Amino acid sequence: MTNKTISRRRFLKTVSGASIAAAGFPYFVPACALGQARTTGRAAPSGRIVIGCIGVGGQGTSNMNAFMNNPDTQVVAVCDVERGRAAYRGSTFGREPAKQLVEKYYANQKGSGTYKGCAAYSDFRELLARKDIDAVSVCTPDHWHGLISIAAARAGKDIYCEKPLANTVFEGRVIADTVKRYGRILQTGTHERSNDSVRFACELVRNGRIGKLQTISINLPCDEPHHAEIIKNAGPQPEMPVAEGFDYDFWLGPTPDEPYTERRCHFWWRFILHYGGGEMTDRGADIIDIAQLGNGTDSSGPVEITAKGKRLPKGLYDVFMEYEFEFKYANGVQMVGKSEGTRGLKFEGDKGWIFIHIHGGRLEAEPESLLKEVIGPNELHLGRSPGHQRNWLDCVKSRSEPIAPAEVGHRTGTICHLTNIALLTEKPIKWDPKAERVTNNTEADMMLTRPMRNPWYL
Amino acid sequence: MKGVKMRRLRIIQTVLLIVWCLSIFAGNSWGQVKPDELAKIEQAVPAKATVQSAKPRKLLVFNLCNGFKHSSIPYWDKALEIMGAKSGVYSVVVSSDMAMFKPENLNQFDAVCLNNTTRLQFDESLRKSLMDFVKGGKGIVGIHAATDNFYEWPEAAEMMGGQFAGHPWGGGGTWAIKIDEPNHPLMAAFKGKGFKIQDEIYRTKPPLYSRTKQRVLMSLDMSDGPTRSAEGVTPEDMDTGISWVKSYDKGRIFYCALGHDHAVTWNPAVLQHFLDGIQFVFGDYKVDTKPKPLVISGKGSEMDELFAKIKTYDWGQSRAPLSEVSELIRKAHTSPEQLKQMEKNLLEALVVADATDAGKQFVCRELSIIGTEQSVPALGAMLTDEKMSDMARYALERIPGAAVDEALRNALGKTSGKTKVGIINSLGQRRDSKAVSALGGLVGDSDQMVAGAALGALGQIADAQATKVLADAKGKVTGKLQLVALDAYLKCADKLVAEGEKDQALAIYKELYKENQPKPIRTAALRGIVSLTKKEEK
Repeated sequence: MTNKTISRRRFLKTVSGASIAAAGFPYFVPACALGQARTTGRAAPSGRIVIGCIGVGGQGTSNMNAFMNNPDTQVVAVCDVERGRAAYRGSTFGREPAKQLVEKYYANQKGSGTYKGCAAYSDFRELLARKDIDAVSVCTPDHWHGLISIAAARAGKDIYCEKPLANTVFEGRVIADTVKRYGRILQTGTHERSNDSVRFACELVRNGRIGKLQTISINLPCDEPHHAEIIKNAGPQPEMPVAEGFDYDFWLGPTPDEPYTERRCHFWWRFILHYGGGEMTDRGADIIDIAQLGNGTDSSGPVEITAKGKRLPKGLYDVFMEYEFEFKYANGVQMVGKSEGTRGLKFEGDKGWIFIHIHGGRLEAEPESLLKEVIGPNELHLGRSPGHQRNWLDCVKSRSEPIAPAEVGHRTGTICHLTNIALLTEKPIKWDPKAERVTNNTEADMMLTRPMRNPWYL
Repeated sequence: MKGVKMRRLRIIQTVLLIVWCLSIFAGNSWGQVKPDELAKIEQAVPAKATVQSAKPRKLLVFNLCNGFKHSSIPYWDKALEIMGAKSGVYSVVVSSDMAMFKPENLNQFDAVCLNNTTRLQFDESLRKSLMDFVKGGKGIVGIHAATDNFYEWPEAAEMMGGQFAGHPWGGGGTWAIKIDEPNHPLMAAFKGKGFKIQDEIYRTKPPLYSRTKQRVLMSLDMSDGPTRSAEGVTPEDMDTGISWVKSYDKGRIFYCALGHDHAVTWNPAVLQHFLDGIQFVFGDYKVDTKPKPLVISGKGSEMDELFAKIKTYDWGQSRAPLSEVSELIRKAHTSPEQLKQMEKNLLEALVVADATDAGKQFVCRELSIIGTEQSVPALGAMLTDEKMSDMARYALERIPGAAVDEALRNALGKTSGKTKVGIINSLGQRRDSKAVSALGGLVGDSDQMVAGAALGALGQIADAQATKVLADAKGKVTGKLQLVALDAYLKCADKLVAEGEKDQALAIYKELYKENQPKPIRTAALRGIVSLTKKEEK
């Protein structure tokens, strides 16, 4: 690599930067381009990754703050179909509150001279059309992940997409294919994967320190206050006029037209199968993601899935709140899970076990001495992450593969969706991870994809 | 925190139970029916039997409880005794001694009545004795808790046709009952009209309880709000039987779930129902015991009633009836004939003029999974209706077969705007090669949305003809449509790579890598070139 003093920004904008990523060679930004960062704490405008944040509810605003807290980023636009209003979380979430947050942040920063203010859009397509934006975050409800990520890739933007990557198996496949086609860097928001202790635990497993891996036990309970809230308000919800400032039809997007009720939308959507997959995708995506890492099956999946569970029968929320599931992998490993116990996963081998607490990543092991072991120089190393959002930003610059790229996010999401399908059909599923089809049940195979309301298509 | 709460609850429950028991003892010594109550029973008992007995009959009224002991037991003891005497049909022996089941003791009786017995323990020889008794041509009358038995004796649980699995419908509540067989002789007492009653109702626990194994005479009416939404009711409870009859080898079973509340024992209709049932078990009252499965066609069947609920379902109502239908459909999945019938019923609910939108949407979601060519005419007709088109496509898009593609293509020319866009999208999603000509004609449409959708759909289909159309169109479209056309064309190139047509693909990538193309497209094209040339280097 020649050490040309080329501005990182111009480099990224040229074709060759992206193609080198496609060919698999990393490129490191010359220090001089970031020289200004050392004196003012912020990178020169040309050294910054320009970001637009699509979806600024709870998680979206938190991610947005995390992105801003880096010397080499600049958030210039936010987008949300919710304008922000007093009745919704006291005006803390939505595009207007987010815009104000961004502008306030940069007003307090030195070296922001050229900052022109943050735009607030309600239509993500307008944000994607901006030529100055390099990268976007997608923190919308699950049913929008596919359409926005694909459009972003086609518009030449890099993407940080919240988990689960997609709302159906087919959607995940299209996202991964489109990201590959356009040479984009996508990070799935499974931030636990960036946790030091998680990576260490998986190294111990992959290097045989617990012997031969036999079982991975998953505890995915629905025992938090928001679950209790759902169970308490399990009845049908009344129709109401759409809240002023909220573009409900756009929010629905590709999902069927159903009347507005407040408890359908912000935050609670995750308990309705049109828009999300319940706890199975909410925290299941994190936990199963780590299980895949520990099992070494990141680009594959199980071959058999069985599950049974219970749903709330009467009201709006039709996801599974109680469940038991079991996956069998071709390498002989069995993964079992239930909606009980301390949230986390346990890798069990014939010489010991390791339990990873979620969230936080605290480890327990038998024998305890495992936690003090050192992975040798000739053994498999999984690397460490500077933090999930930071890792994405680094990869946007270096064009190397992030910790949780699209294919990994897709494969993890697939397992979550297959479990939900197994729960719905109450029949075991035989899965071909290569062809990505269900081989023993046409009903389940039909459910890998879902039709979209006009005018949306993948 | 959960554990502590549960423990506290248990303690409170136990204390309340003790207090309650004490109050019972204080106010009313267990085992004694008060004189005024006795009078009510005597008043309520039927004056005469419905049919003649072949001979004087003898009924063993058995009331041993190893589990919960119902306070209504002495009331039933009395009611059965008085009923037999007044009608002259039978005399009773009341007992709680398991020795009564020994063959030499049992064979003097014509039937056994399990009066709220719980957790009876039958050893090997007593089991044989009871089975011989029933199978040989006699029978069992079960009252209420009679299903709280036979946990270790599956054959007997199966014989009874149900087993206790909780009671969401508690004794203090009033529940609605519907008459499934208004014309059945044993239902004469109720004169064909559903009713409400204060009593405790047990769950029946399928598959022990099944309309394919017993003739269900009446069941809980889930169209009644309180009954359907009692605490703990699940979709599996939608069919909860109250009374049923069963032929078991040469013998007979009659069971009625009523009988927890004392007042039931002086309810005239219920008592008459029991007397008729007892006469049936004796063999004197010959009635039809043929099971009627839920899945049959024809007016007035269970299935029709169930599907009728879909037509009136609206947003903001409990999802329970829909869950029930989904449950039925799911269970039918291994039987093509049953599925075909379900599909037919769903379609009926769909085409009815006054069916709600909410109901129709549910139908379309189900048809999306189980639909066949049978559904195409009805769904196809909906495609041109602006309001219904999305719903119809939700169903059609996943139904396999050429008939669907044809219906979509036919609707293409008859629609415009967003409706048309939806149909184009579905054709693309289905990879319908036969639509390529029509789609090609739309890439120049004055409606940008339509033109864009057509380009996108061609990219999905990406066959040789579509590739040609796109190669031509990409140079002609302008503005935002340019990127859409180029993305579609790229997809064609990617498909060619997958099919092994490397030269053709490389030609397209090289074309798209030219200086004048938009940057994202050039990026993708270069990636394509690099990936192909890398492979060749190997």
